[in-house]
Amino acid sequence: MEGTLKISIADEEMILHPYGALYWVRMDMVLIADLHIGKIEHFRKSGLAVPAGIVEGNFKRLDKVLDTFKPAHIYFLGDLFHSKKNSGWDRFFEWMETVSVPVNLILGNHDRHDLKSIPKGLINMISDLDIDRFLLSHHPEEHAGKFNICGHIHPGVVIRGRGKSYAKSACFAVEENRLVLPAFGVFTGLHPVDLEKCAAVYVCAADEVLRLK
Amino acid sequence: MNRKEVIGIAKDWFDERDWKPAPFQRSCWDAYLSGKHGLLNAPTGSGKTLALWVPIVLDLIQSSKGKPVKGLKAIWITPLKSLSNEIKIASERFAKDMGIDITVGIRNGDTSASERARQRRNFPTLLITTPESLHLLLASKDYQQKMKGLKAFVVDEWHELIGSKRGVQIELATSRLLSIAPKLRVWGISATIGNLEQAMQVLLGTRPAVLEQAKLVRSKKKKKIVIESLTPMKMDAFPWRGHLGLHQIEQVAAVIAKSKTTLVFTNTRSQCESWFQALLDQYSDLAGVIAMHHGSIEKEMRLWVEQAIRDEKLKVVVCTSSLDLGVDFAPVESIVQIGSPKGVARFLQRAGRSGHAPDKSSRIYFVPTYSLELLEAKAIRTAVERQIVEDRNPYELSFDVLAQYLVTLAVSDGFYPDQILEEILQTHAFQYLDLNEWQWILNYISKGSQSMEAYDEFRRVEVLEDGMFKVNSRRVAMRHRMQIGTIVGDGELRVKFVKGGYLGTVEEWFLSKLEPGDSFIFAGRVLQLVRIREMIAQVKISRAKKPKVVSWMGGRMTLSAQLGALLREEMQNMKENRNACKEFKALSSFLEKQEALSAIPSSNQLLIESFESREGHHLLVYPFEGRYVHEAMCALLAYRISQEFPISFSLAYNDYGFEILSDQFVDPELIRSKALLRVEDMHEDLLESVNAAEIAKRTFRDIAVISGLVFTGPPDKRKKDKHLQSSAQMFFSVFEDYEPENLLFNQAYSEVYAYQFQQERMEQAMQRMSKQELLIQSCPKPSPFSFPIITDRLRARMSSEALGDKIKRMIAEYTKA
Repeated sequence: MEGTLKISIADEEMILHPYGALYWVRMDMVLIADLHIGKIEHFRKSGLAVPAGIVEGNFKRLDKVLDTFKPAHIYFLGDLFHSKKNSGWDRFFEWMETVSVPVNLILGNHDRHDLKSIPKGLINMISDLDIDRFLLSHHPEEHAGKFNICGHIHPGVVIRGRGKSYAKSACFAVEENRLVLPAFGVFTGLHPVDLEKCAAVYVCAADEVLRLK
Repeated sequence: MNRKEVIGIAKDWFDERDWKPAPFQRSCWDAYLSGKHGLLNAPTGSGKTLALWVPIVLDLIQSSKGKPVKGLKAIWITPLKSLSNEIKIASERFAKDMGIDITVGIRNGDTSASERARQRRNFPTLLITTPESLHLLLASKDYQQKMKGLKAFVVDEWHELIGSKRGVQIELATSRLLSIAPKLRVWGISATIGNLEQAMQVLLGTRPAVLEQAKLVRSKKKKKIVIESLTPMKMDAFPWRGHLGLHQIEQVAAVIAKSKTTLVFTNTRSQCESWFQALLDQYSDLAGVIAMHHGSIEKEMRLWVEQAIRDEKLKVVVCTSSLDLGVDFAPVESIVQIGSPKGVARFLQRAGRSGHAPDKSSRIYFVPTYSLELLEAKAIRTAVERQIVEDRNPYELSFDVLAQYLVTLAVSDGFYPDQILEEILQTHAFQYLDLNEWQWILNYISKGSQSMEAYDEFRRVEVLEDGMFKVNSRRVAMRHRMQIGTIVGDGELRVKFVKGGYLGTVEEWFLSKLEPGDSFIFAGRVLQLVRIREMIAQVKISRAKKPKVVSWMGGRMTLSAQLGALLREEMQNMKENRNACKEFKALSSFLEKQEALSAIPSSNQLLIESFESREGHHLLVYPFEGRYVHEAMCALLAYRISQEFPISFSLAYNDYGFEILSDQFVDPELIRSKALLRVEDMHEDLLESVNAAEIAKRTFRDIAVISGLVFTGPPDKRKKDKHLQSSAQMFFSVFEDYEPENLLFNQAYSEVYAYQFQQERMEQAMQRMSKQELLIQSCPKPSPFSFPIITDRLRARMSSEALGDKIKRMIAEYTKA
């Protein structure tokens, strides 16, 4: 699979997708964090002209990821929705109809408005998932004996080159007992991670995942 | 009463005070009363307010015929809020003496909400305001009704506004007011700049009916300026590279001691902090009579300093360009300029801050921070003799300002595009706006895009059935009003004592380098960072011995083209006669070393040096064109060399020249043989050579805020809109990927080329250089000319302490040889 990177996390085989998704091979499961559906529409409704075209960008990226892995399960690691319900949600529900596998949402801090308006049975909502030696959550969690996979942080790195050049990019940040996924949604922003504190950092460089550290 | 009679009243008023109207004042009175528009060129402290306020009042006396004057008649723009009061006092006094019942009001960011509301119900006759507050008025309901009786629109300190986006705001406001108020006369007041004629046209716009009635009035009065450079007692002690200039503190202290009040101008805020500390440390008798003034210090404190100068309570004020402008300080006797003033106009303006009493000359002491800067003292003296002053270039096609303005009009009374387009095309800034661009901006504010999208709920400006563009959403209107303006803060944090008490603002990036517990100097105090909470840095007093000095990103000015040309000329003079002036004599040992190791270029030569050091192979070029041009030019040259063979470099530059350092040898002859400094393909090669995208991204920040892409309200309001937080960078990235044709995105690039790289100036410089003889020198070791450049580069990479050691070592190597 072009551009993806196979790594081993806590003795498990995982595949990183350059768009920011994670595929857990043994579980046949795709994990996606911080999509922030409805954010673009929320901005536009308030008169801030985010290009409307990037909405479709989100769905194209989702389709590509699902095409690549053809998973049996999808888990959104929180902040699937940005704010209150708006037309962006409808577009998302429309897209959901094209998905044939079960979709689960681990609730994030943004997922607290209008959840009742989600059509019944469309999304299975849970607070976190304790699975094998792993704990899937939105916020970073500490749990003895568990390896945590989470979102929320929107990790990114600033790579400095010669002269004053630099580049910013989203990344997967691996700490001692944790893997933080990048934000999948377009127009979601980055939070620089402290490289010193990371055991490994994998950068989403356009169409390729590259190991930085 | 006819015109002669009313002018007679004013003359009597002058006579009673034993004053005589200056010729420029009389010209303004005549011109205004005969219905003309225009520009008055007069310096601060010359009576420029009376030159225009007198005829405004006389006209009101004439037209009111004894009946009460109702409604707003005149708007007076000042770029600085602190100037408002002085104008208010002067104008009220004259009106009162004339026995006419009119009111004067001030409206700016400091005006209370209740005062504003009162003004809206009952406007004063004269309103003194800022460009931003004027636009806020244009954003209030029924502004057309309120302003239709306007007779005068005066823009004070126009030279300060014209070279910025605030100038564009004024141009747009002028175009609107001229349409609303049929009897309006538009006048600007400007200090001397190179392009006064153009400045007048920019203000008035392109309407033929207005330009036919335009008059440029110049005050003939020339203030005598005495420029003296302070050279160190021991010339050998003079540093070769730029320091803070503190080695000359003794002489500066002597100037302070013998003057009633001295203003010490520094070029950056951190230099200002350092000088203040040093003076206080070494001259303890200054405690209590020394103060500091710069743009990041809390406003109350700055106002206190300004008042204390007037009250003769202070002996010395260390300041930055924050005191360039503004109120007259009669007690100021001496001005000290630390380091290069970078331009003639700025230098003259600073010099003019002293000797305000009539007939007194202005005295300015120039303190070069390193040897070669001495040449600038001579160059500026020549400039003063020949009356050479820089131009201030107006902004053009600032789509961000246009978008903001259109939403402003939509917020208040709404607008019809065809009518407003006609006005906009009559401004200087938008005279070449094409219809596609116009449509793009209209789509941008009304649809948020250029095509209709399904599901779209974009809500900003609505298009009503009759075609009117109007904002109906109260939230959109409120957010827009909060964000009117073109000055964008640079991610600043407020600095406060833990126990309360506000000190000023510091850029976020500086504080991000500090850990709690670290000490730094700010606002003249040594402070310890306790914590950062919600954009507030909480501090307490510290006793640390080695605090850091706050630095600010902006503020590195570039040498003006005019001053650069004069420097090249002085270089030639110096070559011919080393004893021509005090400055040349003081430079003699420095020049001998330069000649021994390299050469001094004459005005038709371009000096190029090469030498090898432990660091690698150095190549230096000295165009004397200022740091911005050199930054782009050295990137361009490096790129062209790298096209010849694979090589990597590090680059450095200052106002005089630039350096290319590599571990491989580059034969300077290559510049000649391959025409590496050719003008052809300059634009294309520049695009390849610099990371324009990165620089454009930084520039885009301002554009995003001004055009209303990013919301930056006051912090307390921002919380409510938590889900609307974004950054200019996020927008820049999505435009790059999804909307590369976006006009605002492209504006960032145009601004980088025009203002950062100064492309036009760079092209002229390269034209000139292509005609120069290349004076190629292979040097055994670094020449004195190269010294400030090669060490400046080190500073960017190493901590200041290590740098000190490095320089010491390099100097030791020198003196050994």
